Amino acid sequence: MPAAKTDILQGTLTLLVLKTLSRGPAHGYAITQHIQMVSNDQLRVEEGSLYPALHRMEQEGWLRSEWAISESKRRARVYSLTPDGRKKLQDEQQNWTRLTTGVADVLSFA
Amino acid sequence: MNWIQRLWTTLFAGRRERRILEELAFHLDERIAANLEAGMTPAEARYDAEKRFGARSRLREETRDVSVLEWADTLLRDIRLSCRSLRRHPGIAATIIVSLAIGMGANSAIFSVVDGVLLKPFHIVDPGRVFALEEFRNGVSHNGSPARLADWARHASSLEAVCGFYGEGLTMTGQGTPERVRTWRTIGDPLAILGVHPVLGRGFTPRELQGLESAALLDHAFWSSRFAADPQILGKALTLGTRSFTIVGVLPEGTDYPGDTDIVIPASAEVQNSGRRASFLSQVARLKPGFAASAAQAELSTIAGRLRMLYAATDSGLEARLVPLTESATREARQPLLILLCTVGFVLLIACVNTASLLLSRASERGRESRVRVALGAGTGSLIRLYLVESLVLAAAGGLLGLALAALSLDTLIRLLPDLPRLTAIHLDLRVAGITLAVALFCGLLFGLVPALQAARSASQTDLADGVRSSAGVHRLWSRRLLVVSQIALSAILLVGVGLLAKSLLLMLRTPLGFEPAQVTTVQVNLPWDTDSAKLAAFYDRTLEALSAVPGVRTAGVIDRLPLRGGTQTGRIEVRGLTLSPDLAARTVSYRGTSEGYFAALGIPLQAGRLLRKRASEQGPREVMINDTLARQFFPDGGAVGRYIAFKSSTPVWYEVVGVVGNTRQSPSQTTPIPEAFLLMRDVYWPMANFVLRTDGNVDPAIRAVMARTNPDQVFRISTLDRELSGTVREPEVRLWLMGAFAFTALLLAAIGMYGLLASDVTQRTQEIGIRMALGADPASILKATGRRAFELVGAGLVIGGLGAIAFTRYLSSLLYIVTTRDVAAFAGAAVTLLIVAAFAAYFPARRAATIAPVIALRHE
Repeated sequence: MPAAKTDILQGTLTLLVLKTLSRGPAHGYAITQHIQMVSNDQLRVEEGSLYPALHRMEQEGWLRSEWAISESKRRARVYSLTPDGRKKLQDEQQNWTRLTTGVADVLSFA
Repeated sequence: MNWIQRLWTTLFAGRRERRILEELAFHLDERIAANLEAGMTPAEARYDAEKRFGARSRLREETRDVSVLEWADTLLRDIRLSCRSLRRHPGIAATIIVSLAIGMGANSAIFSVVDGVLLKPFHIVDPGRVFALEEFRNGVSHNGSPARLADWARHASSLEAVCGFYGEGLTMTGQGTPERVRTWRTIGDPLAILGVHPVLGRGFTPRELQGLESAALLDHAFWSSRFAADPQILGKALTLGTRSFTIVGVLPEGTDYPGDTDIVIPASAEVQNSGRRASFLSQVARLKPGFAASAAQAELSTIAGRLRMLYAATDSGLEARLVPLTESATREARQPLLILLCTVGFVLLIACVNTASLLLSRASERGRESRVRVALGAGTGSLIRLYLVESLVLAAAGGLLGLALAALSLDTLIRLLPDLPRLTAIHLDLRVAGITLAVALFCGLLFGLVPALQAARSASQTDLADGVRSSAGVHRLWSRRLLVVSQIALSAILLVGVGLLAKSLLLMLRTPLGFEPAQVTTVQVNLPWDTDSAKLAAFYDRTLEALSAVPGVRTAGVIDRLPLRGGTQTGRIEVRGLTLSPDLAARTVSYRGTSEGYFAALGIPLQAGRLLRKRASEQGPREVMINDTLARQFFPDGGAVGRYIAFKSSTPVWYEVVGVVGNTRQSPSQTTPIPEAFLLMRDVYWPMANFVLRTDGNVDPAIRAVMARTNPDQVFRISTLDRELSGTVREPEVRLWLMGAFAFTALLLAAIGMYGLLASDVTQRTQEIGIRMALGADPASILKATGRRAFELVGAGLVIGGLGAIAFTRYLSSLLYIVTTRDVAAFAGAAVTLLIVAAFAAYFPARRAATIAPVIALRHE
């Protein structure tokens, strides 16, 4: 088993999911795989909290979902971004940049 | 997320859950497949996949965000579960729902009456600032006078407007057939009190308000019905009584204070100038904005204090009180209605107790079910919740059915209730429905809690085996016994109340009337109060003569007011040549205007002397007839005939006593006859009267023709004495029937409760009884034992109920004639009734106990 990975910071899951889906529709499993892969295994989505998050985001109107057939020929729920979701993604991205530069500034000052 | 979405997700929770489960299954399978590819063993692959989902609790917690209103979800499930379990016991469910429906239905019907009559404010602007200004002299309520009304208006700075009014029935002529209209004669501006503006025309001018110029405002309903809402009505003249009034405006629709009014007219200047001794006004006041009622009250008390000193002769002991308008307008209806509300409250309470008792017995049957639920992991909390939900479902069903019953019966109820003010305000509206349902749910909690707690307690015992007699069973039986005792006690209180009302009515009906009401036709007339006395006397003579000539009329007479309908005028008398004892000198004697034919027409026996003789003019010897009581009280040694009496005044007029007649009852509640004197109509100015005709068969058409010919401008009403008098007994009769019906319902519910208890008692003791029988007890002793148990319950209930009745029935005293609230017969009657009912309820379980075969009993369970 790999060494403990960084669990995704509370609140950033939304950003990561939105960013992942901005590349195109994906099902839940694919979303976790993508995040893990792209972050070079540094980030790991706790899968138990992914689905409630997806449902919440869908109810907020950022995502929509439909049944589709997966690569493994099984019925899977596929999520995609709505225009609202795209807007949300921009906001979240700006927030994140502001936050990280702020934190970086503090760290470099000391 | 808005509430619609929440509701949606809750209602379709099942679908959503299936979707999530499918997604999760897909996810797990993908992960396991990936893990297998990475070289894990199948077990490792699954373990890792599940682990990645994180703690199960975490999953649940997060999902709660999505599955909003999870409790609502659980509630729906519990409701479905309750409905299913109730459907398995349709008998019990139906009994409970029907008894609750009766209780709730009676309550919401009576409450909607109480709400409409007593609670709803009048349809006037800012009703909270309008109060009745009531005067009391030495604590006794009396009506206001124009002079004092002016004082209140002038000195009270906290009052925006003060208005005095009195009702007057007037005959409207010149608009087709003469018609009786109800007017509201005012002193002060009525529109300032009501806070409204006429929808048509204008209000009164100052000169009109003072009665110096004639003007009338029409009530909207009267304008619509009588004048077809004619917008051209303004400026037209109405002839009312002897005067003519110009219509200046129409009141807005729905103006319901003071109610029962067709036309509003300022009182005439003479009336407005009547002195300080006068006492005929009802008074209303509107508070200035920003003044509290208490401040205005304090100011009025100060002014009253000043008036007491200024006008010692007329205003000594004067007090003024501001009373909320609804309270003042409904004073007489208040007590009977509240008693009725109390009664139905009792019925509902009994229904609740009954339900609790039935649910309790079900809880004992369901002990095993509860224990299984607990063993399978149900918490005590969820068990209590399940039971509560069940009783709430029952309560809601009972409440809804009750509302339907109330809606169906309200019209009948309104028709039955005699002479209530504000009848039009009575509706079964949302407010009443809301309160009914709130009461229903409260009752559900009330009667659900005991069984729920019992179930939880018995469930906490771990043995799943039934048949083991647990201490909880004994405990439960005790609770049920308490419930049955309280039912009996409540029923006893109601029964005593009904007994008192019944006895009162019976005594009232049985007290001799002193006259024969059958086959008497009455013709009621009302002449204006300002009719000239000579004209009035001529009218009576002429009409009497014409009516006597109608074929089929055997005897015709006239009387100012019918017997049982109260007296008219009273005074104190002196006897010529006799010094009366202070007691007799101070005694109030009632006197009435009549004619010689009255006594024969009503079959009142002449005991001595002769009848009054008609006198054609003011001149001539004046005669009086007295009743038996007056003769006995003032002339105990006989010899009344031939003496002279006079009504006390500065210039006494002496009347010769020419005859003595039997007593007649003046009012329904009168227990001992009162002294009465009968004078010729001519000697007693009273413009309202009833012609009474003893007739053969129906002569109404002939009478109508004669009346129309002799008095074309006169409104009259033909009726029979029986019908006229039925109103006086109708009110106590209706009250008795209503109370009786409610008490009967209560009794039935109590009987069901007791039967249920005894039956399950016998079931629980089957084994014990079997052993006793096997050991040689004979059926009779078993029967006796069960019977004794029943009568212990009844005895306890009767003692508590009796004490309760003593406490409660004093509120009834204002509705009772003749009997006192401590009437032994009423209490005894209630006890006997309950004992008989108890005997019936106990008989069947007791007989079953006595006929149990020992072998079956021992095998039981």
